[in-house]
This record gives sequence, structure tokens and C-alpha cells, in this order.
Amino acid sequence: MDKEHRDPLSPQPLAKRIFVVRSNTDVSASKSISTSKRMRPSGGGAVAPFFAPPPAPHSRPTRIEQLRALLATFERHQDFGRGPATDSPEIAVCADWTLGAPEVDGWLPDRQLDVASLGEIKPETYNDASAALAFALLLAARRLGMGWTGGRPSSASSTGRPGLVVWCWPHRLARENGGLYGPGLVRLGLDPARLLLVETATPAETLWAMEESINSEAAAIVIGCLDAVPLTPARRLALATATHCTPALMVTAARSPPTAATFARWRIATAASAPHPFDPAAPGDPRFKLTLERCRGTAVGGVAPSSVVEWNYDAYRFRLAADVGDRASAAASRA
Amino acid sequence: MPADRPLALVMHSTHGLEIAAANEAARALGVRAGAGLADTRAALPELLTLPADRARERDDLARLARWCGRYGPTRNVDGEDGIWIDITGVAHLFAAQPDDDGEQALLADLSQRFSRLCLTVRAACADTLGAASALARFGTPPEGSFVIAPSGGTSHALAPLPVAALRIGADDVRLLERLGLRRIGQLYGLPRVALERRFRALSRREPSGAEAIATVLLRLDQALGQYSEPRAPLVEQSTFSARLPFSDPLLTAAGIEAALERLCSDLAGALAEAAVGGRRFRLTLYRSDGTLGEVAIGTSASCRDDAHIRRLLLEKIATFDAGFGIDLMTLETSEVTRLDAHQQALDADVAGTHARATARLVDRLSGRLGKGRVMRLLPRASHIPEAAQKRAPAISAAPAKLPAQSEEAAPTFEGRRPAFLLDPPEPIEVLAAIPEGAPALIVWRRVRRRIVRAEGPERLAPAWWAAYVPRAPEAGSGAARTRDYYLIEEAGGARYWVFRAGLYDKERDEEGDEGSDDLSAGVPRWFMHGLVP
Repeated sequence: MDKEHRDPLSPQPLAKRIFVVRSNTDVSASKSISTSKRMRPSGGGAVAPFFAPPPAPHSRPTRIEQLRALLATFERHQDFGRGPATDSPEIAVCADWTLGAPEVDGWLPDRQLDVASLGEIKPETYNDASAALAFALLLAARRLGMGWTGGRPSSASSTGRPGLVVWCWPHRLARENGGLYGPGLVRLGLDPARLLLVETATPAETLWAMEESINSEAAAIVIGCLDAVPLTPARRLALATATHCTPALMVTAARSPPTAATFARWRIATAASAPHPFDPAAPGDPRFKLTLERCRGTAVGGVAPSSVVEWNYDAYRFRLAADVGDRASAAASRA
Repeated sequence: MPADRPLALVMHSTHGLEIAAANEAARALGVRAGAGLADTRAALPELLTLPADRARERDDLARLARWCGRYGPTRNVDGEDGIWIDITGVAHLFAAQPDDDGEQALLADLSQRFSRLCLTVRAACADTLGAASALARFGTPPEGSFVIAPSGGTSHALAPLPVAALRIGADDVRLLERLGLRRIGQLYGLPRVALERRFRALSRREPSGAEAIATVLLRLDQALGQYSEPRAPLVEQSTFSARLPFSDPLLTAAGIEAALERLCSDLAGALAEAAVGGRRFRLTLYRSDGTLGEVAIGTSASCRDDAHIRRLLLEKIATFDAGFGIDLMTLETSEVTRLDAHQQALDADVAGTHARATARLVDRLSGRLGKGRVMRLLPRASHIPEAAQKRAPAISAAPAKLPAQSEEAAPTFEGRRPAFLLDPPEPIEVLAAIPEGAPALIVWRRVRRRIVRAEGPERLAPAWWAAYVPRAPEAGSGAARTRDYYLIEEAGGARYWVFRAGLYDKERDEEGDEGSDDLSAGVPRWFMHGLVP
């Protein structure tokens, strides 16, 4: 059997795979360039061709930046699971995967989400599950970086990151929460043509499908929904994301224990939506109460940063809900 | 069941119970197939009988025909009691010496394996299907248990056989015998026109005389190879295949995997040489006890990458039971299309790399989880929300067409659409301030939810054409009533997309003539249709 497709639940020789990652950092830089072929070039997904016009700023990073980012990834994961990573904020990391709200991005190391890691999204209560799923979708939209031209999201791979959004969940959750709906995704900024939907019979199959997708070069981001993730599969997923530079998000149930080996754990609650610009009785842009319960590379033990953000349908980005404080007075004045 | 006691299978016929088949011992005592059971019983009271099961016999024969794939890919059941195998270009594989044509060895191997399965076999090999069928059923095997008509010697081999061997009806046989034509050889020299005239004279009373002689001559021509005979193979014939026999049966998973690797690389080499790729691959594992296992995989794009094919097949044979061992493996491909070599590892070809990686991923996921579990969302031109999208298996959705399709066909809705759609919609209980207005309180999944904000209604008329156009996207969606959609927000902030199906009487009056179209008049009902972020 090939090393990469064992049953996700069987015990794995983790040490061996960690060694593979580590050995890349130990050898000289030229060695790591040669091994980088195995990794998916993660910036624009591509290296600019030699004779192409210079890439536009922020759209496609240069080769040297990509390699730096790759090194940064190695450094971040060399002492995987032992303590906070030691990466300096000066290193420009290839993928600019942010929420778009500077205040919230500031909670994260490097002011952005780690593309080579497993993230977890948990609803605060059972009723917030749909908000957690929506937050995962919005992060995927941010990851693809589409729709910057406004109007409607463009599916051309030239404007955003190539690759698929792979959405895996057991059939039971799909029935409970409703199936993904293309026209609604368009409005969120996600092109349904870029979505690969996997509905499995069992949670174990979901984990397997996630790992396969991460290991494939096809995925730009992998999202899985499960009630809980056991320790071993979680570590496998985390290692796969680190090896392939493809981020993965787990949406888990509110009450289940936190997933291991994650980079960050978000707690999501629905919040009353923003005021509608024209109709005070209608719901406006959706708002979420975000709490970053845990994040690797930040101070351990303080109060978890929390804030209410809203999704801006026009700019396809999050922004801090400005009028949270005087919502009560606004409501009073409206009445 | 003791083999030395007379045993017959009986079946119902128009004249009561009738012997369908008899074993060696019974035949020796004069039991004939087709005779009535009562007569036979009278002559042979100790005859044992069992009911014949035609359906099961046919199934078993078909299974046996499948198993015969080890002697040639093109084979099928022949009549009620035979199997034909096209061994063109296959026989030499069984040859012991290079100058041997291998037919002898092939038939010997076949007879031996059948006898090991406790089956009596009458095998024959000839240039045409008709001749082989005649020789197998009516030929007198010289030694061993099979007849081989040498290439070009068909007419000589057929000459001594009775005319019944020509696969013609009993009436035609009787007619020929009345003409004194008992052996096939007697038909060779006869002038056809004269034969036809005599036939017609003898069967003047029946109008089918001309047809009967035409059948006889056609069968004769087919048997002699002067007229081609179409053959329908049991399984779709594949142009590209690889086979690997083993002298010792394979028992271990490691051995099978190693053999599979070799088969895949052989097949991939053949495909690459012809610059084609396949989309369906079928691996057949022949167990030494005469049973076989088949594993089929499909790929979303034309493919000839041996590592990829091997991985897909390995997934499927992980639970395969090797039984007493595998002594032959074959790998075939179908749906072959042209696939030119592509240049690899050029950084600029991002789109191509991603398309290939996507196809790989889809194949792997679909192969293990099932085709229907890995899906793409395709847009459809419909205003009914549940009909506006189609979930298609990703393996059959052409990946190249997807983006363009969604650009053109994706309906742009002014109103909000949910990211998660409940299909079918779930009934809810609603309390509204005014009957035609937005909900003020809903009960969904047994939980009361107080609604603080609402937007709507967005009125969607029913798709009246769905009843007349069976292929319309809306057909079968049950959207026969006018719907009023509302986007509502609960006190906590959760947003839902609900609709009211049907109109109140007052509204129906306002809508005028539409009221009569509303098929299921009655109290409007509320449904939860989606969750909006």
C-alpha cells in the first residue's frame, strides 16, 4: 500500500513523517528548493513564467517570496506540537489569507491565517451551527480571493487562487443543515463551479476524503464538518496541511471537545445583523460574534480576544461592526 | 446425488411433464430428453427426477461464459447449452512450443478445467461459429474430448455431420431428410436453384417454404464462412487489455498488488503507444476454483497514468477475497479516446496541472465513496429555487465546461438566496401579525423562534409548464402553488429563508385570473427553505 492512503483511523508512524518535514530544514537551502517540487507552490498557485509581464502587486508573489514562505512554513512546523513557533513578522508569507478586518487580523501571528495548518470553527451553541458553517464558507471565499472586481465573483483563475473548495461532510449533517446552494454561494463570493461537494456515509470517510483532498494539488482549501474529530486523524490532517500548504478547516459541534493539533480555534455565535441601509425592519449584512479561543504563536492564558464582525457583501471581506455599542440607542431612536 | 443412478430433470410442457435433461446413467438406459415423464417412468420406474430450473441454468451458463474470459475476451452464451469463445489471436498464448498454434493446448486446458469443476464438456474449434457449434454438438471427438477443424478444412470436417447440426429447426430437418439429404456434405454439391424448387414443391401447403430453404442455405453459408455472422459478445469488447497468468495461484495481497502494478504498466504502455487514454477500466481476477471477481473503475477524464489506475484499483480490491488463489488477472479498458502526450513540469501550465489534479482527486474520492457522493453544483435556468441547481456526480460532469456554464447560465437573483437549502422544505408553524404579512413567530424543529426583522415578500409564481414538459427542471419539484418568500431574522440573529405556499382568498382576488391556476387551493402553508448567513 502506498504510504499516503491508509485508513485514517489506523495508528500511523507519525514520527517518520515529521522527520521528512524536519530533514528539509536541516539541509542547505539548495536542497530545500529541490524538495519544493513536492510541495504545491502556494502563492498564486503558480510561479510566474519567465517572459510574462511582471505580476501585479498583491496578486501573484514572486518566486523568491514563495520560497521564503515555504521556509517559514518549515520553520513554523519544525517543532510541531511542542510550543509556540518562532517566526518573525518580517517574513512575507506567500498567501495573504486574512479576514479583511485589520483589528481581527491583528489577533493572529503575522496578521493572517496560517495556510499550512488545520483550523477549527465551533459554534457557541447548537443554534449557532449555521453561523459556523457560514463562517467557514466566508473564510473559503477569502482564501480564493475572488470577486475583487465587484459585481459578481469571477471564476477565472487569473483573478484569484486556482483550485477547488472541497466541502466534506457526512450525509447526516447535510440533511440537518441543508445542502449547499449554488445561487446563495454566488452571493457570498464563492463560485459554485469551484466547489467539490463530498457527502459521505460515515465520519471516518469524511476524514479520509479531507486528507485525500489536502494531499491533492487540486484543492485550495478543504472544509470538513463533523461532530468531533479524534486525536489521530486530527494530527494526520494537520501534518498533511503542513506538508502540502493547503489549509483545512473543521467545523465541529458546540459541545464536543476541542480538536487537537489545530492552529486556531474560532468560536462563532450569531449576532443581530447590521442595520439595513434602506429598510429598518429588514435584516442587513450578517454579523458574527468571533472569539479566537486558541491560536498557536500567541500568548497562552490571557483573555481570548472577541469581537463582533460583519460580512461586507460588496467588498467580500469582514469588517468590525462599528455601531455595536449604540445599537440599543439606535433601536430606541428608530422606534 | 449418486452419479451412477439414473437421474433426469423434468419440466412442464404442453403435454405435461417432460424430461429436460438426463445424466449418463439414465441415457444409457434409454432416457431421452423431450420424452414424456409418464412414458419414461413406465419403462424405468427407478428413475430419479428433479425439477429443472431454466432461469438458474441460464444464470449459471452466463457465469460460466464470463469465466471463459480467460480464453478470449469475446465470448457469450450460445443457445441454451453452449458457450462460444472467439480465440482469434489468443490461442498462441497457450502454445508450449513456438511453432505450435496452441489450439490443442487451449482446448486441453479448457477441458481439464471444466472436468475439475465436475462439468462434462464437448469442445470444438473451427473457423466459423456455425462450424464450431456443429462440431461441438454433433462431432465425434477422435481422441480426448474435443474436435479441431483445421483452418480451411471446415467443409471437410462438416461433411459427415447430420443436417441437424446446422442450427435449423426440427421441421426443416425433417424436410431435408424427406429429400434424402441427411448429411451436411450432401448439400455442398447441390445446385441452389434446384434445391429451392424442390423445397417449395414439398412444402406447398405452407407459405414458409421459401423462408425455410433460405434459413437452411443461410446457416450453411454461415457455417462454411461464406456469409458473415454477427456475434454479440457478453461484455463490451475492449481494444486494449493486458493479461498476466500465474503458474502458482496468488494468495497474498502483496502478490496481487505486485501483479496489478505490472498489469497497469503494461496497459499504460499499450495506451501510450497508441496515444489514447481510457475512461473505464476493468480488472478481472480469475480464482483457481473457477469463480472470478471483477473490479471496475471509472475516471473523470481520459487517463493512461499507470500509478493513478493502480491506486484506484487497489482501493477496490482491498477487500477482495482471493479464495484458493488467483491464477489469472486481466485488465481491460474501454471508452478509449485520443489522448496526446502532454508536457510535464512546465511552471506556466497552471490550469492544466490543476485540471489534472482535480480529475485525480475526483476519481479517487468517487472510486472509494461512490459516484453519487462526490458532486458538483451545476446551475439550471429556473426561478424555482430548488430547481435552479442540480447536483451532478463530479466524475461525469465535464470539468472543462463548468466555469463557462456557470458564467452564462447562473441566474442572477436580486433577492437573497440561502447558502444552505433544505430540500425538501420543512413545514413550520407561523404566527403572523396579519395573514398576508411576514411571520412574527415560527416553530421550526419544535423550537419557538421570535422573529424581529423580516424582508419580503418575494413572490415566485408556480411553474405552470412543469405539468406539460416532463424534462423541465421544475418537473416533480411540487412547486404548484404560488410562493411568497421572506428573509426573516430571529431575536438571536439567526436568519432563515421561509415561504408561504398558496395565497389567501383576498390575495387571490387581487391576483385575478391567477387564482384559478393555483392548483391546490386551501389554507396556505408555511415552509422553512434555507439558512441564510
